[in-house]
Amino acid sequence: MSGSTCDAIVIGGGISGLAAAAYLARSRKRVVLLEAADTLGGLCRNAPLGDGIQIPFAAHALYALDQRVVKDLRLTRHGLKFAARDMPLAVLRSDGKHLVLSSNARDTARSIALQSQSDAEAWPRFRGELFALARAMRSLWWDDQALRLGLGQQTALERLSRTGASAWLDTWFESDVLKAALLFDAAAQALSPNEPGSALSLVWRAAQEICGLQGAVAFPLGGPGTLVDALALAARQAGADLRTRAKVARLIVANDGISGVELDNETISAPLVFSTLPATETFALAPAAAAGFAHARDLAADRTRTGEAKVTFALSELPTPGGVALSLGSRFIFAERPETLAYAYRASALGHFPDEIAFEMILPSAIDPSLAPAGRHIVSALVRPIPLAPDGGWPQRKAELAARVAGVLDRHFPSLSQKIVAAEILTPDELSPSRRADVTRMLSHWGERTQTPIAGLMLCGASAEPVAAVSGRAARLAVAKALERKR
Amino acid sequence: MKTPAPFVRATPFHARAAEANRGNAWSARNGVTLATVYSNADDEALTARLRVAMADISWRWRLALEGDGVTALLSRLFTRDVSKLSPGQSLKALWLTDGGAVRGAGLVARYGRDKFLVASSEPDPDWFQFAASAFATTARDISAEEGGLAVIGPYAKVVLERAGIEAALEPLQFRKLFWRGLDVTLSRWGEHGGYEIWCKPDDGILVWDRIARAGAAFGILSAGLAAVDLLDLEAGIARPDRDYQAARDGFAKAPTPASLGLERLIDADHAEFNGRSAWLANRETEPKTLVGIEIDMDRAAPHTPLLLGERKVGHTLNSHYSPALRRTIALAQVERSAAEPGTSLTLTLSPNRETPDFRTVAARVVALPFLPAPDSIAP
Amino acid sequence: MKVRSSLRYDVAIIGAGADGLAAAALLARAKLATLVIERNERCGGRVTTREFHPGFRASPFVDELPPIPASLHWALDLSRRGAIFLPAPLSTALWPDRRSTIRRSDFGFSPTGRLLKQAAFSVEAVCRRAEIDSEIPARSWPRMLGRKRAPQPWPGAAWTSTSLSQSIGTAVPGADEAAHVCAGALWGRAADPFLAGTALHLLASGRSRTIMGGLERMADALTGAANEAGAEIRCGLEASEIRTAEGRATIVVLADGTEIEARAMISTLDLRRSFLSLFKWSELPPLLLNRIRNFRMAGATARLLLALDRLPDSLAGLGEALRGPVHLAPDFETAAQAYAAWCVGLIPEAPPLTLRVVSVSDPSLAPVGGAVIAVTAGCIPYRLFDGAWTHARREELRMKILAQIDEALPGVSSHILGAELIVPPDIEEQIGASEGDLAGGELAADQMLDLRPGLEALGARTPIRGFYLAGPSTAAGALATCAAGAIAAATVLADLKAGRLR
Repeated sequence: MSGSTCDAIVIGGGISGLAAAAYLARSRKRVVLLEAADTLGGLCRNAPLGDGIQIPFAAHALYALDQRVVKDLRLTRHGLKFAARDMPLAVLRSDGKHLVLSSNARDTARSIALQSQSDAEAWPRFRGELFALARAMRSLWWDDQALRLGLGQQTALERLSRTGASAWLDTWFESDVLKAALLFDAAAQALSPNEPGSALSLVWRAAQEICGLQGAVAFPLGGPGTLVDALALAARQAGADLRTRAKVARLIVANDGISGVELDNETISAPLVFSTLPATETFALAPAAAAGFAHARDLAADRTRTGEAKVTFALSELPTPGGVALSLGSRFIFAERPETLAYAYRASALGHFPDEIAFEMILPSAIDPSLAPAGRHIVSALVRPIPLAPDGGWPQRKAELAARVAGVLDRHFPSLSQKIVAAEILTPDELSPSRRADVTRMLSHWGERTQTPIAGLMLCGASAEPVAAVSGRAARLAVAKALERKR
Repeated sequence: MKTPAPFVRATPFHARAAEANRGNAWSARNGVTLATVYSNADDEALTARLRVAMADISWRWRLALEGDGVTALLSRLFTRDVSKLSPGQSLKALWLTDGGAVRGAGLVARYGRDKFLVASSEPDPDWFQFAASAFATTARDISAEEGGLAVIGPYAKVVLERAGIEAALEPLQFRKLFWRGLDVTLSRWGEHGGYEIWCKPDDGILVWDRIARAGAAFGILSAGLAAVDLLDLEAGIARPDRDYQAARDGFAKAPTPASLGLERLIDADHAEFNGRSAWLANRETEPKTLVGIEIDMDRAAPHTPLLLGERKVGHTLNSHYSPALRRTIALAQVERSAAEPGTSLTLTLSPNRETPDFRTVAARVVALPFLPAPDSIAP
Repeated sequence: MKVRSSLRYDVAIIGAGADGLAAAALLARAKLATLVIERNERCGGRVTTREFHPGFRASPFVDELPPIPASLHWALDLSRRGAIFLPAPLSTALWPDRRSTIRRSDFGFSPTGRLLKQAAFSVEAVCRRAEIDSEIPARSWPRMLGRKRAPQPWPGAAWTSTSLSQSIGTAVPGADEAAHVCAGALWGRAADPFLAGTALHLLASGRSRTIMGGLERMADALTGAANEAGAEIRCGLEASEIRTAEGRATIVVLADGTEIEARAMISTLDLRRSFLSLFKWSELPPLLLNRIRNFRMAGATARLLLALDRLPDSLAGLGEALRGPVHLAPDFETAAQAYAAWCVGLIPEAPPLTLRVVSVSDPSLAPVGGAVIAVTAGCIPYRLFDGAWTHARREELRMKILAQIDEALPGVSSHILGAELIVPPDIEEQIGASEGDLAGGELAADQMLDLRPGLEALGARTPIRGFYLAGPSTAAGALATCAAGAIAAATVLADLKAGRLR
């Protein structure tokens, strides 16, 4: 077995890993990035679906990309451009009273007023409070700084950290459509909208910023894969060694500190290792209980039974919603009632397939035609919550999930299912199974999330974020922290 | 119909203990009924110190660990390296939380290559069960599967030999024996230089009777829990549950080994134990340490504040009147600045029936142990 | 009984439940002219026993009371007045396969005992904490909003972030035992044991006990304590309005038009009823109205009182365990499903049932040879999704409950002489608990501890000066008996002393 030495190792070639590698290389560290798969990008890469169609593999839109990462790593110069910067949120109704929430305040108000006049009046006040709280929360993870909140805000955030999202929205709105649309975002990462603290995940979502817009959702030109390419380019130019098909077999730990990693046929020694894998997987590579028994027990208890699934269809025709004119560049949310999410969550947690599914759908090819050849279109749907292991097992129920999604879409996009030429289904067990979102982490200092009990081993992937998202933030902060400590 | 486990079980020696328990004073420890005092605790403790006494120690929590990963597991758990033990040997060590606090103290005995026994005075099943599952090891609670009788005192060896047991064992060694038709294990795990006989529950009465008969010539007495606790106190041993509250939160940072005088059970060269880095980081900053206190009165003063001049510097833990020292003694946690033997301290006693007002009593720091071991009982 | 018009008192207390009587006793002892107004003809509120079938009596609403803080129990001298809490009884679970397991609630000896002990410590700490707040001088409402938050977090905060299944699951080995403990925490309530924050139910019911000789004894003892101290208790009077002047409560108007002037008023009703039924809404600050509107009630208790000609053999076999509750087929998932049904106003398929043969621990409740069983069903909605609680609906529920009981304990229904069914709207009507919620508001993370009632006020104070809240919607009220009343009394005394209620 051959051995080599470097300054830092990054495990995982997803967005976080690439960002960590780029930051490290920029600081003149000899850095090796190890990706087990054949290609870089992880969940964010583009994947082919026959016929020259490129589909976003898992993440189909971006909403959390850290603005500083974009700036520091000059990603725009490396090719990152956006096809849509602020996708409107649309909820289709069979009665034609569609709800569209966009950046245009007047249109939004008119659309909400169709559902409820009082909600339309409450909306700007709600947005105002939500964004004020979001700004307060952001100070926690934008910088390495102590919590600088006003007492009023702190009280409000603490109260929300014990309030269910549905209970909170009930205090603002009466319209089921509006509540259901907002709850879909709150139900991220194995949280039931009834769960105390899920209200905070609404704030968390509003605190995200993309293209300089708070709480927006954007779609990169060329699909999310463009971001991977831009980051990889930035990392390579800075001098990082990016290796694919390099699967880490073991972490080498001695005296409660890390000293390197072991691959199938070589060992690499480094005093710093950044892992973008989930915490459970990272520590599974280390010797048993290397980070402490209590730590291992917490990790073992930290299991979720729900996840997200992704269904992608290639269509032979552009789907058109029946009746009305709607921007196809919208983010469509399908959740019948506010209870849909709570029920789907409960059923999923018990391992049953929910009776009603909730999902978010976008039409990448309508936003960026270059993703599919002429005459072909893509529908990308993110279904959640869905059981990690449904009764019967995923291989048997994959087709059922696709049929259910197509069934719901058919109601609003007439005869959509007849236009499907190819389908790709990514089940929650294939997407990396996430831990349950811990609301207390949304108010805790980011430093606590990137550090591990093993000196020199840092977490910088989704595990180090309060809610898993493509942001690169944990990577930026973890690298900064590690380099500062080294000095 | 499922019957719930009884709350307090009797030990294999219960029938004999009940006959001998003249005061009918019982207490429960770890879910086991034990005689607190048979006739007179002072007498029993002095007998153990000067002649020979036997004590029922079946209440100790014992866990059998077996499996391929067991050596790695115990090396990671305990503050000393168990891999160096050969079968038949044992050691005493602590297990710490991730934050470096004392979670338990006990004895590890090696029975075979992949077979160990862990004994402790306070059970900690959750921690061990989880740890065992992480290392593909099975952990089985065998506390109820064996009875333990300790024979303590300068004449312990003679009594055992008279009873027909070859008692040539060094401290911390143990051996399986076939003793006139009984399968027993003889060990020297105790803190007081005695021997322990571990037998099957059904053999308990026989073992008790044989030892009692062999010891009759030496005036053997059965010692109750109070006497055994007194011996521990005189030997300066702080035990979880009785003297201090061991950490139960896996990330707890207190109590530290230093604050309980237990650092002697840590091998700093043993590199891999759980909580090591936290222990190393905190050991210098721990302000308190464990000392012995002699108190100038004849009544115990447990959990009482200790003052140096006007300043509170600590508090007593367990306290008892020691008939051997003819004085009340106590274990105490005090600041390092007041830990020098000879330092004069004062105790503030809360009002009670005998002394209706607050009262201060003079006390002195002394080195531990208060008394050497009786010719030199288990962790 | 007629009260002279325009009477003046120092303190007027609305509701002669446990909280109201405790507060009255403590205030009257401090030589304050104290009046207690009770709508019903008897004192006690839920703490009562009545005849539901000729010769058969039972406590219609609850079988047990949460603990009274020991110091309060001594201060009111309740033991000598005849109110003695019985020790923790055994608790039985009957499983679908006819097995039964018995759990002791003894503290300390078992993992379950340790968990409940921990919960009990938290309850004591919460009551103490609420009491401390009563000492902090009150500020006017607007300044309170901007006040610096109390520096240390509330005790028991850890329970708000864990679910019942999680806290029981980690503490209690064995799935059966865990489900059994869960049923013990949730009986008569609606909660999804998998949701974070439901661990709070352990605090609220972990240490509830019955009173020797029936709950009536407690009501009598408290009434005795209040009377002896010199408080005036008037039953059969309903407070219909509280008049305010300059943001301060001044006059209680009774239903018959009598006006009572008081320097301080304590309401032992729940949050919603306290404000919405007693004040002109236009006089309430909008923030307060908003909080009340958003304060969720969770009435979920139905009670079926059964008079039996004799104790059925299937029950007699349980022996001494009969003194305690008998939970039918406890299960986490059934509880979660029942909760889901409750949320949308459906009667669950299998409502979680708990039986108590109350005549075993108190033989005076039934004629010789007879037996009284109080059945408590949880997750019974206050509002049915398809309309009111009609006779047919009640019959349906009664049959559902009896069928479930007969399946677990064959032959019970053949011994029934008479029965009374009490559903949440009945509880609301009879003792004035909004939506029939005996706990005075859902025991959810955002409605407990420092957020209960969450009026940004300290202790028992409310945004209306001179108006104090005791009762179940307060931090201590949800977890302990009498504690909220005592805290309100202490707050009134502190404020009077500081000259804030002139």
